Amino acid sequence: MFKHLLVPTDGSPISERAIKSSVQLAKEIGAKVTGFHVIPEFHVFTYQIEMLEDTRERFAEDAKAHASRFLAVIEGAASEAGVSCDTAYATSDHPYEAIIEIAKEKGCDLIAMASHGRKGVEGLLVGSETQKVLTHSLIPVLVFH
Amino acid sequence: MFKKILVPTDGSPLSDKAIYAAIEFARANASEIVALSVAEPYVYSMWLEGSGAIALDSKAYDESMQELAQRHVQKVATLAGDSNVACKTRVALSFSPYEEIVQTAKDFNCDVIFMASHGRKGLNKLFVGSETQKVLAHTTIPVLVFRGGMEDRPPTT
Repeated sequence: MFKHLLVPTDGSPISERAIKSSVQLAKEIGAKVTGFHVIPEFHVFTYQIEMLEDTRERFAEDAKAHASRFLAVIEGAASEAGVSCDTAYATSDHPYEAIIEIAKEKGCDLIAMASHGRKGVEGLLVGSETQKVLTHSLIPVLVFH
Repeated sequence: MFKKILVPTDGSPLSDKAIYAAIEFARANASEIVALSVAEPYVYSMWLEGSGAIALDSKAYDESMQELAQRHVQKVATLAGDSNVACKTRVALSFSPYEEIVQTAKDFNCDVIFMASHGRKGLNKLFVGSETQKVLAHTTIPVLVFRGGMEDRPPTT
């Protein structure tokens, strides 16, 4: 029934655990996976130190390097498990919107993600980005802990 | 990896999507289903108590709620049976459904919970339902959340 899993990652350890579980699930049910990472927009005024020190170009380069490193984790796990895998990244200040958008675009029928990411337990109960995906996605969402 | 699926239901149409998906998944992957419905007990009200206005028998109320819950899990068991999927059922009486859901998942060694994003208590587009929210916060096993409503359909056999 689930043929195509979208696996968003922010590169955090809990995301990496969710990646392993998602790939394992995909293997068992014969689904393919699409790894996805969202790069934050560059802002001149910011509280994120990397952005303060960087120029726009430098930040874009670093962010792309991060993205390919995080996505390589998914590619690695998928190839090890013999699961067909594709990756994508987008730039957005609202990861949940980008996640829902790419899921629609790629025709994914399940979004598999960790209960919270890099920002920690920011929402009272589950991490805010997962929360927003849960609230707005019409595609089922599998939450790993 | 998902060999035993817990499916909590409150009998609302919003639960149906999770039920159908669980059965379809179980059939395709030789998994079992545990259906749970939590009956909420009679709520004593200090305004009604002693006023004589409403002589509601709390015991009879609890029993009828449990009967209703039994019907909800039976519906899942019947659908599962139609698809040759093994299904166990449990009915609980509790004020906090999420605790029963988390506990039942442990008791039956379930490895995933399939549930609707909202239940009977209402669909608010801005928030995930409170019971689902609490399950997500308190369980350690994966939870597959379905948005109820649209395109509900019985499993194709």
